[in-house]
Amino acid sequence: MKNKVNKILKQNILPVLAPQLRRILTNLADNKLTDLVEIRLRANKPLVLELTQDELFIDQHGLIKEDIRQAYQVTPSDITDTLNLMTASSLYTVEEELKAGYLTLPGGHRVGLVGQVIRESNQIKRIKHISGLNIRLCQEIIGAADEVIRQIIAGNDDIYNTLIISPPRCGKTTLIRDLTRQISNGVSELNFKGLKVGVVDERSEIGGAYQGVAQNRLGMRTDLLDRAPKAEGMMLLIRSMSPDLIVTDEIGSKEDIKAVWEALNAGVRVITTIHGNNLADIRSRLNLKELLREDVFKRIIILSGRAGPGTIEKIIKR
Amino acid sequence: MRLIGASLIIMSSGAIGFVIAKQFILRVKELQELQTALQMLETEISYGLTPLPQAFAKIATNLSTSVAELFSVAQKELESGSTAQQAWQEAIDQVFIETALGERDKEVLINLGYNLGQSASQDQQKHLGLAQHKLTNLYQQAVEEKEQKVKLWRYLGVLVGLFVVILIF
Repeated sequence: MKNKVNKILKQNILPVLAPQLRRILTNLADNKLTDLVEIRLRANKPLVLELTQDELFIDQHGLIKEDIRQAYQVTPSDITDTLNLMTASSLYTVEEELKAGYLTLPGGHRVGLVGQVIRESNQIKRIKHISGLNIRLCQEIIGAADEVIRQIIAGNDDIYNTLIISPPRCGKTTLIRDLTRQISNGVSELNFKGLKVGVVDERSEIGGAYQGVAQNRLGMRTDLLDRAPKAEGMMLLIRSMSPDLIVTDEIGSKEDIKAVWEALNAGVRVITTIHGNNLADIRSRLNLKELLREDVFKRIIILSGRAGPGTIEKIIKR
Repeated sequence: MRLIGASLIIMSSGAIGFVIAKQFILRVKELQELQTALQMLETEISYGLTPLPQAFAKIATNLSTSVAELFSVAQKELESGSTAQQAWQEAIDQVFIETALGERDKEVLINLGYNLGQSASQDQQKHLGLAQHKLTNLYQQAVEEKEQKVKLWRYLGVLVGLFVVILIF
């Protein structure tokens, strides 16, 4: 685990940081970064590293400080330089991403952006003068779904429709990613054959794709549709890739629910996730009520961060 | 003996004239290639959304003169972690001396560097369009200059040689 974060940092993150920030983080002792989750850069504000439980403040020499006021102040040019390095100085290639407020680095790491928004008829057209970056490390955990997969397979070549309910940062994407991999590859000790899996990855979180190619292991029989809107993407996959199973993250809108219905009607299995704390939470949401009333989801998995991210609270079988 | 000396003087003087004349021809060719390069860059940016390093590499392989060198140096700089503006400036600093381009041509290129890659593709197209427009003007001037001066320098070289020969002997 320890080596993993450092490896990710060296390979994917440090090369795209502004020279000054790169120097600071290189100087930082390796063992302090074992549970690094996010690197926060805000113009004229202290550099903050978010760990799973804690925050780290670092001064300009790479030393850890107790007091946030002693931390290194990120300059506006640190942010522009970082952004230039992340995009190979080609901002025009990430126009759509700038509209959505994030971009994805090789390795699947997400970078959130804020700044001055340019509007066009009440919609965000672009973010300009970017003043804050949040670099969120993507860590695939092979085997995260070992426990869950036993509960959702139905025979040796079918699985149950599954809904994963989880608050943010509790490992739902990590879980769904490993589920995808295992279902696609098949699990020999459970005598489960691999299925054709279609993944609609609207925010590039599952595959962490870079230029269309998944950077995370998603399995041998997986077709990844990167950055597609969920509803349209699901329909496209059903029409053209004949998947046995569709995996998608964070459904919520009316169109999403409709597309899930269509998929189910077409005889395709669905695994999806949703933000929430418990079943009652989801029941109270207008769009989702119907989906739960009919027993389409035979397995409902509830996650929490109680004993660290990825804690399985309950698996409901129906 | 005299004859050999005289012809040596005329030949070397003539050669100098030819070399200077060559610069006018080269500048026209390079400006033409620059125009093609910017046209290609515009297509890569607006249509292909190709990142600058790849776009530069593509342009460099398609051109022949020092202009190709300009793009390939810029590409290497970009890949070693410079921003577009730094990379472009560095490429100009390194390559410009090998070209036949003038100060006004250089200015257009340097100005282009400030905006390279820094905005949405529509905006990039406008910047590239402006640079292309300026280059077209410079190209027309360069063609006129070439018409006037190539012959002039060639004759001048030979004639100066002759003049020196007459003076000496």
